[in-house]
Amino acid sequence: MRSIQMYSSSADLRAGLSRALSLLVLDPEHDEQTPWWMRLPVELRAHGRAGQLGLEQLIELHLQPELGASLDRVRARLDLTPVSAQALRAAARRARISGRAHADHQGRDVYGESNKALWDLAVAPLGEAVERRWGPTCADARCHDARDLPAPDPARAQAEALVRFQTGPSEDGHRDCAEHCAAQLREQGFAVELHRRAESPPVLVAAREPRGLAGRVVLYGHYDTIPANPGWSSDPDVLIERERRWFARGIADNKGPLAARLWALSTLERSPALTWIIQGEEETGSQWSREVLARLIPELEADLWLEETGYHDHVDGTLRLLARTIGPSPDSSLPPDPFSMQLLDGLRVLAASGGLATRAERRGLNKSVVDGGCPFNHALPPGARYLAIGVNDSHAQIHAHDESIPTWTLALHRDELALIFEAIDRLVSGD
Amino acid sequence: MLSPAQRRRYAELGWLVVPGLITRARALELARAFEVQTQRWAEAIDVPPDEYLSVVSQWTNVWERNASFKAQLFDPRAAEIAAELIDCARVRVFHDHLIAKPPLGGGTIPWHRDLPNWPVAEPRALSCWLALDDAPPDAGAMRFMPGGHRLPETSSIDFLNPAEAKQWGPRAAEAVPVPVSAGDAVFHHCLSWHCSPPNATRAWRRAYITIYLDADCTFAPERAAWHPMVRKVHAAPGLPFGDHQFPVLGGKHES
Repeated sequence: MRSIQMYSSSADLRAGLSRALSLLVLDPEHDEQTPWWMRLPVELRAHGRAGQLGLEQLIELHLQPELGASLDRVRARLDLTPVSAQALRAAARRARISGRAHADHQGRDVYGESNKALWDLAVAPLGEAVERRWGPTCADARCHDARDLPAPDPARAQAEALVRFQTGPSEDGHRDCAEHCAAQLREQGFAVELHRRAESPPVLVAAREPRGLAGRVVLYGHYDTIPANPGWSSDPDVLIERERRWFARGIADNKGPLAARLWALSTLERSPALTWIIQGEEETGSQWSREVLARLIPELEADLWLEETGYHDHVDGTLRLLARTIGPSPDSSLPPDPFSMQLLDGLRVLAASGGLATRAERRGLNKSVVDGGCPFNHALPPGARYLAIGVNDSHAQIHAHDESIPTWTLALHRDELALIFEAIDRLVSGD
Repeated sequence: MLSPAQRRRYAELGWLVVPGLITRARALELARAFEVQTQRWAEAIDVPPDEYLSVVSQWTNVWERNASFKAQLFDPRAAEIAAELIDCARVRVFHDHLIAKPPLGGGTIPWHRDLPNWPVAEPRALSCWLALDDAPPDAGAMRFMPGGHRLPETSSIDFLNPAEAKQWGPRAAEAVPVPVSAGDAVFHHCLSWHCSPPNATRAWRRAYITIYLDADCTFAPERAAWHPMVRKVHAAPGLPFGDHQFPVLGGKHES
């Protein structure tokens, strides 16, 4: 939504008009659990979701009174003025004429100027508003079906490597796995400290100075797993892909999310200050890490505390936004503050570009099965902004045989991290 | 056909005006053909002609759809001059296009070079800009930067993004408007820097432009993959364009 070029003005306009429609999720009257494309006529939904509607169809949708009114409410929410229906019709007609002339007899306006005029009216202000709030990643996203996204090869290699370490309770791969993670993070410019205690798996604390963005984000994760349960249909310690899912012991809890974030960070040129805490005994009581985190966390001033992973509904991909402000006691959840609410809106907008609905829930990730509870959650200070978002889905079968994650969520999660970083920069900077 | 002075002038400036390439009467015939053809095109897409011409202002490969322009395209005189200026034995038509600036309209075409927008590897090409109407300076006549074709190669400029606009600095004052009369032709090098302002007169400013390449120029789709002609090329990258889609029109007189 940020640029239209003369070399591709028709395609850019179609993409921009599609994306503008996906912003319907910001309409205060829109139910967030309904994907935006469900607002389209039935016969247009599949193409609308995938960003494959034609120019004529998109223009008709923008001119439709109900959708037009909804888009005007979106504009109002983004502090933009409504678009004159008359001006929109006039610009749309010129773009249509140029498009038809080109298709019929290679005639056109001068270098896409009528496409640009419609863009300036219907797309550019929305794109600029999205970029101002949430950054270029959110503004540049194009409409697509997120569930078609392939898993990036480097992320898979990362996940395969992590899965190979035997990190169940009675196994001995913890130190090697921690060293592996440390090496990966050092390669990305992190200063890594391994907090060691005899008989306890090391707690890895990695920190990196800001790279062009303001703010600080603390991420959490763990590299240990539970023992392999009976019933696996493949070797649990070898990652396999089947039906666009990765299967392996610990792939959802928490090696897949770790791999996804290691890969994602390696692709992002800009980030705020980061601290990543990765422990190795979450499944066995977290005794040592509880001590380390109790000392460490009060010293960290983070703008956001990012949980080890998060979930999608496996049926339709709905993104769950588990967000809260930590209350007076560690287990209490207060509503997200305005800062977090704006961040959640950005994540809704990004998810909408992938055709996904969202569902916000004021709670933390369910860790009732974790012995002694989660040390990360318990150590968060009152007022901390907490967000659980990640690559898992409700079909993950954590702690059971055939544990898995969907492969399509990894690329999306990379963009989510980019958006979070860019939005925090804007929020912290007061932009 | 050209005098040594004309060839030197082209080599020095990057453009050459050839007065009366066609007669004024012939130019008016072509202008009339344009009017008839655009009326047909407007009807074909069910748009009133006036509204059509307020939007659509450029047409490509007109020679494939209109006999008058096809006849003009195959007129050997322009091809001979082109071959002489490119200094090659045979020229090939890359494509033609009609550009019309309506009265009191037409917008600004910013400074640009043509070659970076073409999927052509070698800078051995030119455009023949044939005026169908008188084009005085205030009618959107082209402006050129003398010697601009000898400046280092540059990438293409996106007209929709003002940030990419060419800035000449103090050299801006050197720009030369090139007014012409109906029937005159401006041959300009594929690397010449040129632009045109809107048409501020109450008359049309129409031009029929033919792009000539040295027939041995090769297809380089990576340079402008978006160019509409790319779809028409059957030749492999690195080879000359096919004769069927891109006709060879003879060349300079052998002596």
